[in-house]
Amino acid sequence: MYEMEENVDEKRLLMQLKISEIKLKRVTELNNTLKQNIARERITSSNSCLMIINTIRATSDPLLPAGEENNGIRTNSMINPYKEAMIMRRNDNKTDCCIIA
Amino acid sequence: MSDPQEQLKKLQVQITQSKRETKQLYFHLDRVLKSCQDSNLTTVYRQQVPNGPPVRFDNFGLYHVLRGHFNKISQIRWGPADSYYLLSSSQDGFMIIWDTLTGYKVKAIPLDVQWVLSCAYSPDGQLLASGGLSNRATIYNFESGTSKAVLKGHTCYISDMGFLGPDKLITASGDMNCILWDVNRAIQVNTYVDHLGDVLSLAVDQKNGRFVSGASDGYAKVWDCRSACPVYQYVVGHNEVTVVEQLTDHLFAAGTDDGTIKLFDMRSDGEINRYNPPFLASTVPPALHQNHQGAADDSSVTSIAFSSSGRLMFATYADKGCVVWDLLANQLLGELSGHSNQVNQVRVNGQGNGVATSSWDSTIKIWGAT
Repeated sequence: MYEMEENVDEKRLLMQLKISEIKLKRVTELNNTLKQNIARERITSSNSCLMIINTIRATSDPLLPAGEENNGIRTNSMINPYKEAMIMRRNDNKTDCCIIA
Repeated sequence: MSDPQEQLKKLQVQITQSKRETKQLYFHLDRVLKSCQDSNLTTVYRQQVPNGPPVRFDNFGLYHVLRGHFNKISQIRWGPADSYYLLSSSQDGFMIIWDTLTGYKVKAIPLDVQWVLSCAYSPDGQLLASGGLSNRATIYNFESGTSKAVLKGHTCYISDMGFLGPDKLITASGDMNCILWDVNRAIQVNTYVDHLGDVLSLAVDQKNGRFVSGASDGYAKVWDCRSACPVYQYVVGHNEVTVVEQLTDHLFAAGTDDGTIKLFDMRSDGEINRYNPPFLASTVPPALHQNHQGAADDSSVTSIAFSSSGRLMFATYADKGCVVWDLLANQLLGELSGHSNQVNQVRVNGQGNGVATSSWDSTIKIWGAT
């Protein structure tokens, strides 16, 4: 009886040992990730914002009004395919219809 | 071998020391991040262009109203960048492919499960995908319209999906995981486990092999597809992150269920702008909205899209419809109104010259510059 209790205690101790090892491994992993995050190269948000603003203002955008300047944005004079398709459909309709005098 | 009791004591001391170090590291990281957050996008823009008028938004028109579905439309996706095809999935049990230039249907594909929440269009235009409450994703051939593969692996609903390449699909699910699939072999390539709530939204960056996920735990995480751990993670707020959308390689927006949109930048590793829920005269009180039109009683952001330059940000809100923001000036420019029920999706096409909005009124509207 006494031997059995001793065995159980030993098993419990070994289990605790294993759990603690896993815990330590996890915390160490987390620490390493945090160290990597701290060491990561960053720029200040003001610099980043400047780059974003420059990129946005230098990129043409077919959804913005056509014109020489639109608040710094170079709008392009690309043909609008939706408008083209609509005009073509109107023309097609015109030729399909007959006029009754 | 040393006594296990002693070993245990030693380990516990090590754990305590490591935990102390973790606390210090968190504190240090927080300080580093705060030191980088020295301004926001609108402030910098105002310094650059002090008296600049807001961007003009008077040239927008409706080209088509696409009718053909008989129930709520769950999602819409544009086809390959050079096409004007649009894919829509609806709870009437069909996915329809539309030619948005003519406004006609190209194909209607009957779904194996009616309860679809999400759909995707492969970048080469050959494959389509759908997924929803059945917990599985189905891949369809565009040409034949028949199913090619069924992807089983999620244990909860599929909320969102997107193709990473012609044969790679990423799905997000209510089981808190995202999965990368090889579509040809119908097998899981990688599983992404880190969220502590339902993953509600995905934005796939095909060029860099990355994706952003937003979940109900309030986090948005950026993943490299090859790695099982997130590369970046941001606390968006205490609320659910209902939608994420990427603008550039380093910039993405996350919308929450309280109606706030936040812009995150990976180079400065933090939030760079915030767009509060807009107040519109046309906003219908939630209770009235729910009673009369069956729409949601919340003000959550349901979808975000950017124009090709990024200057315009289109956002749909559960109670406000589709709204257009000037991204830099943080000003409301207008609305894309006309739907008779909740507008749940907005998407800009690959060429940047067409915008599609879909609604629970079972129609899709195609907008463009006039």
